[in-house]
Amino acid sequence: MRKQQRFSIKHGINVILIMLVLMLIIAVISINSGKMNLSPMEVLNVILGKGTDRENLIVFEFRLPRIILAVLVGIGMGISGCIMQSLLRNDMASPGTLGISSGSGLFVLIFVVFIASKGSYSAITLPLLAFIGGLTAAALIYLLSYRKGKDISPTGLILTGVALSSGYGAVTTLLTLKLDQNQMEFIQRWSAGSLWGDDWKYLAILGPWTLILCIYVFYKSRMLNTLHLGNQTATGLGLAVKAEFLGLSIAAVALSSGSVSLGGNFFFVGMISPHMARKLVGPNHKLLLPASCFSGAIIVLLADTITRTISLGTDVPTGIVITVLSTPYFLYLLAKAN
Amino acid sequence: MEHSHTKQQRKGSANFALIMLAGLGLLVFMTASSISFGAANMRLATAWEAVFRFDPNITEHQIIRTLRFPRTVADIIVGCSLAICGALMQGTTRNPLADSGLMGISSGATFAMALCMAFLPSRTYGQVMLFACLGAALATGMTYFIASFGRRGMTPQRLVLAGISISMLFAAFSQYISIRYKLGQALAYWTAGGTAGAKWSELAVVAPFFAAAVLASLALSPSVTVLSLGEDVAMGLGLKTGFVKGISTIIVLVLTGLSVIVVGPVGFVGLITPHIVRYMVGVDYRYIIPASGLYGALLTVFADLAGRLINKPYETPISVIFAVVGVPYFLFLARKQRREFE
Repeated sequence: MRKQQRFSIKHGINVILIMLVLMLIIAVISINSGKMNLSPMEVLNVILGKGTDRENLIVFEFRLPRIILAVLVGIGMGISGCIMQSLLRNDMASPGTLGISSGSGLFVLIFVVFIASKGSYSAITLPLLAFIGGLTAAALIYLLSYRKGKDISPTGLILTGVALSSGYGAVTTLLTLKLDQNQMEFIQRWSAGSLWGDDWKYLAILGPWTLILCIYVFYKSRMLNTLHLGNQTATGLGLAVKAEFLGLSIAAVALSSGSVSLGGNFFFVGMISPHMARKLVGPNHKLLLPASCFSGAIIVLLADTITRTISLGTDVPTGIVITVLSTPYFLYLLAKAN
Repeated sequence: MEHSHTKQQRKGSANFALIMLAGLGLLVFMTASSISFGAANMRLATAWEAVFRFDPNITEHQIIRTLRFPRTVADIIVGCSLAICGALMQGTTRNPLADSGLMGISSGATFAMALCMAFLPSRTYGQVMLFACLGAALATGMTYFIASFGRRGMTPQRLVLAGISISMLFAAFSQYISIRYKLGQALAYWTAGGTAGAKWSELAVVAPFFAAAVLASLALSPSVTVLSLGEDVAMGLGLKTGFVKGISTIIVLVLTGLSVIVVGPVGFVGLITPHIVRYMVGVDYRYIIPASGLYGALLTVFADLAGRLINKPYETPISVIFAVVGVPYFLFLARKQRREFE
């Protein structure tokens, strides 16, 4: 079996290591580049604690948080998409296509309109609200496409997701009309995917949030392998299907909400990274999950580096670059899918 | 086709005439209400006088002449256009979920609009319309092109997914332009979809295109009926399918383009109206297309009036009202569709 050989564990680990190295290289390039260029030596000096004040400021307050945020957002979206595609056994599933990130987004908007203007709030409010929004959206989709005695049809789920997204879109339109110029600009940049939460106080929440959920999901990767075979087979193999399904879905929603609230609405990342990962390491979730993580992180980081190095006449939100770069790939997948 | 032949005959031309008359009556009634109700209510008699014995010294006459009346006319034009677009698209692609908002057409037109706002400060209304149509054409072309790939051809699901991704792409371009040239709020107000700003001078530019496209769609309607039976059948009956599809696409682009510049992208009218109409007049597009136009206009005038009255004196955009009605309806249709596939 050549195919099995191609996707052997050893091969997979090699690929993941290469991805890790690639990510680190892009991160280094990303630290070096921007409005003020720093040479790799200067960056090394800063990291060793020998930089000037100005260099310290640039690296630790501007560049590094942003890079970490990009990586975390990519990881969150990548894993979340991977879980959804496996649980639903549908290649087109992702937080974006199911309308879950727009649900999170709506709650973020409500926050900006009704709470942020009143002043006092802590850094955790935003991810938490996004999580509630995401859960609500997921529950709504599930309820609407659930039919007694039948497996949920995958295309039905996505049509439902698309319809609900346009519903959220309408409410969003209604709310944006209440905003003043500043709020408007924030929301516009946020919805385009601006990676705005690049502040250590936000990272202190998103970091552990993503890490803990990742550990949980990695721990469950064997369950995902079994669930991917189909609910009946999984039940036959002695898996508590409902409980596992629920736990993993909530984890997926939580991961995507974290990314959405601080990074912005990255429609395509959650969908594309698992596909790339599957091409590279095959369907075993023990390899697929980390590979999705890294491909997500690499996509977001690369796009962010591009926005910061190439001058497009203005400070372009990262999400726009991602959308433009990844639409062709999505369309290619769509053309190929059954 | 689930409808039997006898059912089709029963819902024949007499029935159709009755439905059109009823629709026309309702439309006149709604138009009158739309002119008299709003932030300030007026008596119908005042409205009547404003139209026929205009006195520039009376404020109410001025309001009616310059605000309410053009607005209602704009509603009629847009509703009629979008509903006809929906009917044509549903008929020619045999896709019950076809709608100009979902197919990415509106996002293409929006993108063109953003380009105009940024690069054509001395734009005329006619130019904007031309660009909106071109943008719409680009987006539609891409959506259809992508959706028709693949082994099973253009399934409704594939069309919806291709539409949404093309929408995302064009939305990204529009966002870039609006951030780069600081058009945020201007574009947002326009995207919200409102006919409040409609002016006579603008409607005069749009009107000839509207009239031409509507007439063309009526002339094309018998061919659409044949095409809706399936491409193979249509070809067997000697229909030039490519020609009919080409013309109907041009009509759709012109109508979508002009609606987009008058109100902004409004979804779901084009989706819902033909379905409602199909309940009343059957599956013959010779009846569906004119009835869709009429009832689309009626629905839009009604939605606009409702938007003005729900949260007085603030206005609720019609795109929001249509989404509130349209989303559940779309879900219902999607569900029914699936049942037919299974």
